[in-house]
Amino acid sequence: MKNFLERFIDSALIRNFFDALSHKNIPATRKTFWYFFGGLTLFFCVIQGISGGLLLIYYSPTPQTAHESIQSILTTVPYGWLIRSIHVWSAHLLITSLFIHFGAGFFMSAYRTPRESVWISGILLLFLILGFAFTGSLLPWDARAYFATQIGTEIPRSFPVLGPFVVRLLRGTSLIGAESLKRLFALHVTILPVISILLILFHLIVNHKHGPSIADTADGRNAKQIPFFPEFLLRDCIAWLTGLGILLVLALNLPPLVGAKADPFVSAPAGIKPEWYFFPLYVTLRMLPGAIMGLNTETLINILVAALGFAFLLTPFISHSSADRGGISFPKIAGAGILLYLLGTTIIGWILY
Amino acid sequence: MPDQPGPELPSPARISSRRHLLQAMLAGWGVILLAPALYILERYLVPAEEPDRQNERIDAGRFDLLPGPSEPPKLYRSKGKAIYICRNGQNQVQAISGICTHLGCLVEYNREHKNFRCNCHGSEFDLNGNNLSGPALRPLQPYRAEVIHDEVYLSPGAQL
Repeated sequence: MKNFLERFIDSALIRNFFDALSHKNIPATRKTFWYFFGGLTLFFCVIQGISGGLLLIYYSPTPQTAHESIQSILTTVPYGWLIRSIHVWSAHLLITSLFIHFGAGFFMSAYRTPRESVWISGILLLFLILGFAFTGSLLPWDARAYFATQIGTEIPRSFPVLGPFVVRLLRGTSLIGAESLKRLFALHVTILPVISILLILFHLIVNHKHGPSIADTADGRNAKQIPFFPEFLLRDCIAWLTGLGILLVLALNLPPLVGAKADPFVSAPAGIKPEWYFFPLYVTLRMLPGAIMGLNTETLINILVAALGFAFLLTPFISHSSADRGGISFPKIAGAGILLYLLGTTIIGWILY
Repeated sequence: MPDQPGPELPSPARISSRRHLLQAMLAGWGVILLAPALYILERYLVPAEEPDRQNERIDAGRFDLLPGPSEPPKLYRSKGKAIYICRNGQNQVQAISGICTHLGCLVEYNREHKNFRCNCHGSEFDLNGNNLSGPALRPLQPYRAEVIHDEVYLSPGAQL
């Protein structure tokens, strides 16, 4: 006689789920290392969901109370500092892991047919996660958060036609204030999470349906395959534990502080900088003159960023699969150029300013 | 028992045209349902127009309390406005906006160089608000001052 647990595990639902997972194979090659970053990114997303939900219990989104409520989380709520530290550090690690996942997918041509839907949902998720980072950065309502939001919501203004509308929609008023805080808070804790969860599910389902991308090289074509369940998932667990280890070392040893309360009538403090993942944009804004060949630089940057976003969305259709057989192709050369620019400006942002 | 001939099926062309009609009706129904929803959403999300305070006259306090030409200018603060104000060498009021014309940060008065600097992207302006360096394109917005019974009133001057 089987007990309840055995009958549950034996049920069609559970059986089908694990059957499906064990029929999925992952190539075991030199490049398999890069396949772990998707799972790792998902792992940090889960951490963000849990720690964010916990912070939500004490955080209060008004200009009068936001800064105080973070102070109180840091000083009076038991382990509040730890939950916030985990949320902040996990955000850094999530974005790092996401960039690596994106770069690996790009340079290993993981966008090729039939995986277009996987790639496009992934790019949309990349934008959404950066949206999380941006909307989250205002919530502490300190001086850096305030000016980062002022600048971040001012940049779209010079986008042709739609710009001023987007600025008003994001801010709620012409000036950053209570309305803007509420809007960005609503985006951060409800609108973005709902869209992201749906997109992550879609990303996982279509990825499962179309199977993993196999690097199209001599090495990849004849590669040994391992079943996703349990072999690859167990290796995934090692990646998650490593990620958790790094997260805890950072969160326990370097709990982030919160700056002075935002005051719209105090000049932007010297040495003010955005988060590292916005350094490329920040350095570009600082380095370039206000106008290039008679065109407003912000307008140029807006158009360029939008064009880049579209180029990445449409990579599967721009790139010719025949050119992607392992060798060097146009998307790879362009991608390498973009990667060099992003790395260079990030280093400049770190060191020079 | 011999096969009875079934009811006559409509020709494929007829099925196809009926399907197209149904599809068009479904699409039309979707649009009818979605359009007002989008309109309501747009009206709900877009903030109301604010009254234009751009040309309002501002009472900036007493003339004799303003800092002199050798002192750092005073920052006058009111809803949405941050104006650096002082007396110049000819004992006249000099007032310029502190909002950087690049991306809207509040500029800082630099005591050492006697100029204004925006710490966000490094734009610098002289005491008259003219651009010295950095990505900002336009000078800081000047304000016209009137002194009535020793009280200073400011109104935005023409953008240079």
